[in-house]
Amino acid sequence: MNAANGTPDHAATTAPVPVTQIKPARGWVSLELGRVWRYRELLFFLTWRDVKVRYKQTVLGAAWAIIQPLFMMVVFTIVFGRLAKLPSEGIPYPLMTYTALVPWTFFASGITKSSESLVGGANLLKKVYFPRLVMPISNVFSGLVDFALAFVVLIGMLVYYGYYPTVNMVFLPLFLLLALVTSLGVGLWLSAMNVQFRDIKYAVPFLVQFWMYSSPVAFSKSIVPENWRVVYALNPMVGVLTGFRWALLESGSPPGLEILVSCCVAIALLVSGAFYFRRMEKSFADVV
Amino acid sequence: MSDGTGENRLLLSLRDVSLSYWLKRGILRRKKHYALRGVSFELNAGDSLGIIGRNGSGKSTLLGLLAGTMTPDTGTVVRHGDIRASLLSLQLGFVQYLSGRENAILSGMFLGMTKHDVEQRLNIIAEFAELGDFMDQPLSSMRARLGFAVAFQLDPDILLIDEVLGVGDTAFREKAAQVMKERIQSQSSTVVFVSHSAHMVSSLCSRVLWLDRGRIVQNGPADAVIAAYEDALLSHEPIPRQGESPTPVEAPVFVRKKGTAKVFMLRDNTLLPIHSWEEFSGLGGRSADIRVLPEDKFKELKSSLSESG
Repeated sequence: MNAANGTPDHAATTAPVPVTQIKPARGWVSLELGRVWRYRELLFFLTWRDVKVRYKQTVLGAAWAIIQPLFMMVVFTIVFGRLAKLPSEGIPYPLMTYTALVPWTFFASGITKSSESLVGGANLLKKVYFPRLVMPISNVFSGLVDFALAFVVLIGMLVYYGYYPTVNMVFLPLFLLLALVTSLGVGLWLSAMNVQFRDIKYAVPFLVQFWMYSSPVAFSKSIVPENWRVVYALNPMVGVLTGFRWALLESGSPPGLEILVSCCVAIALLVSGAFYFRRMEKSFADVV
Repeated sequence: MSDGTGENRLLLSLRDVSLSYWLKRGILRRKKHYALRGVSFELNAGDSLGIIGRNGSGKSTLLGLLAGTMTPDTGTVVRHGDIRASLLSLQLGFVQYLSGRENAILSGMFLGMTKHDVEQRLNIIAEFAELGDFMDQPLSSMRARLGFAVAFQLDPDILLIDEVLGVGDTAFREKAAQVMKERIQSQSSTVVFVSHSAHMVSSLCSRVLWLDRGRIVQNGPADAVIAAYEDALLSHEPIPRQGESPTPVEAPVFVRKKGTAKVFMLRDNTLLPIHSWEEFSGLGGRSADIRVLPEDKFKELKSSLSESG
């Protein structure tokens, strides 16, 4: 991109001026992560704005971060725990679903918000240049505040049910990172596609529902046959949710292979999503 | 040749730049539309360049290209040095639920300033917008004033302006327009100013670039270009493209207003009545070509056609 001495006719008489050439991009474009890093101040300010605006414009504000997973927990406990009598391996059913609902809510709100980020910020895209990646990333990051609030409630529940932290808890940040990577990967795909196909807006709520019932949120992964678990882990949220449960509620060795499979899929989603996003970026200002 | 450091230093040049959009025509079908074709020009430090042209002539696309929000399909945009070109955007990124101060910082950051920069200038911004103590209140009636005050703090190497000169209530509008005019005419700032108004452009800019259907028709001293542009607007001839002989292929379309509007298309010296948009575009008509003619002008045209035909 930067080519010094690009124009001999003007640079010949004096010290060379660094010349930037903006040319049509060909083939696969670079991710330009360095640029995103240079705009980190904007990224964090946007994240902060996202959180603040949401908490200010709603009556219940920050309470929403807790209400949502808590009510889902009640429903899942009644329907899947009491009525359908699904197994929970000795763990209290509310605790088992809530432990999964906390990372799940983070993931789901991340993909919902980031899928809308470009279309919602159309005015910005048309007027100023900044790395477009900043928008979906800040949307996913802002979910971390909600996550923290819901997690505080989770700690309270762990104490209430008499679960005390084990060494396993050290791995918890890793599973949170896995949720973040998955959320961002899917969010990048959806946000870029949403610019071209506005159908995405209507597909996302459906996708979130579909994904939730095919992940072990409302039930334990133990109902999936043992020899299918690795295949099941191709859904990266399986790795996240079993990881959270293992780190907080279980003892013994981790479901290592499943988590490894989930990690690989999540990374593949993120990398492909980022390249797809960058490739489509040129058309954002034209189309939105 | 420029000396590379002085006032007339070359900042930016466009070389044979073309840019197209894909227009959707159904689920999978799409059509390529060129917003700019073969555009080349240079911009020197201290220039005040006006860009004129009808709707759809590519003015805004050209600004987007200069601002870096768009990239060319073919050709090159060359920035000579670490040149920052920014579009003057009012109230960019403003949100209702934040205070004036918070909005000012965010908007400034979007415009390319650092958080530190904006914080340093908050006093100047508050003073210019005449807001004082209201900076910590939620954004409301001060929106327009604050938007202008923040945007005006921006001091890029090349300032791009799209139509906006004055905002807010009458008193503030005059103040805003005044400082904006001073900025455009100042020798120390480089400005590209886009407008429909030939009058505004000729009073503010020294050089003018005239675009039509994505091509440069003329690029030269303001007076000469504006005069040619106004002539072309008044005449019914299609604007000749640079280096091409005038061909009446894409004849203009006239809308006649009398109760309900009637649309006619000028083809082979006859006026074809048009009944639907499909018919209109089927004949190669484009919305940019539509012109409104008052009743008497329309009759004049009709009689001149029947005489010659």
